Amino acid sequence: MEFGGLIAANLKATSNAEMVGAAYTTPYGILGGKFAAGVIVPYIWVDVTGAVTTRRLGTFTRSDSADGIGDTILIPFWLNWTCGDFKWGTQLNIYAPTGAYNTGRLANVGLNYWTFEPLASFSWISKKIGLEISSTAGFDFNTENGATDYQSGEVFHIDATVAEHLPLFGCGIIGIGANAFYWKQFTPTAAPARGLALSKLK
Amino acid sequence: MKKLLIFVIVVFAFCVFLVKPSSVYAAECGIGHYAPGALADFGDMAPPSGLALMNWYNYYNGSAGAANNWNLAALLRLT
Repeated sequence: MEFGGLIAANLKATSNAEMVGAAYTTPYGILGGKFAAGVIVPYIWVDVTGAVTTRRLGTFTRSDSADGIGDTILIPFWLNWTCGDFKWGTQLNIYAPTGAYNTGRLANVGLNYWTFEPLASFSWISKKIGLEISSTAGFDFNTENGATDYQSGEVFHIDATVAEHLPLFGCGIIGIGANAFYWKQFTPTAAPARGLALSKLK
Repeated sequence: MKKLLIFVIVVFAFCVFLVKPSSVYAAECGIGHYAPGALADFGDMAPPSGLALMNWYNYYNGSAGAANNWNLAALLRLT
């Protein structure tokens, strides 16, 4: 697996991210929906351990840690509808490579490429019984990582959540339920500058 | 209520059907910007009107084995 220009195996990675953002829904819209926009800035702590192989040094275990502001999520287009307990909408997320990235490191807080992610989502949460059913589907279109010439393939994904929300001693709610996802890469990954043949990796 | 329960069971069964492990994540760093499962939540919807501040915490822990033998770069080789 390629990490920051390194090839590593038997990887173990832990990531913690504090996400802070703001969204504004305008009074304007079309077809009953309202336009919104937003921005989300993550602060990420990441630890990675893996077996790295080089020609000079052979295979050795290496650990790396990094923390800092990650890749910022811009939401320039967000159109939403609300009807009672139902909400649904469509949006475009743009992941900007604002996080630090260094080749030769196992741990990076940024990925050093842009991702354009159109999404469609719906959510139903009952105000009476606290039950929630939500789902979001979308595509990820990635640009090339200029530092490694690595072109990550394009991806379809869908997430779904079924949860019951219960009052938490009068100070908020707690949710109990199940969450699942489906992930499918539909274009090949490639790193043409190195003559790699990764088209079978999906 | 019975219909709602059946609907929830069907949706849950569909979700279980969708879940199957991917053998290889070919994206660089094993995964891209998308965080699996993180997008399906009522909190991911836009606020009904006006300004809203968002704050949440993501935790991810994963591992990947060495079942594949890839020769990927001039200086580095995975065996």
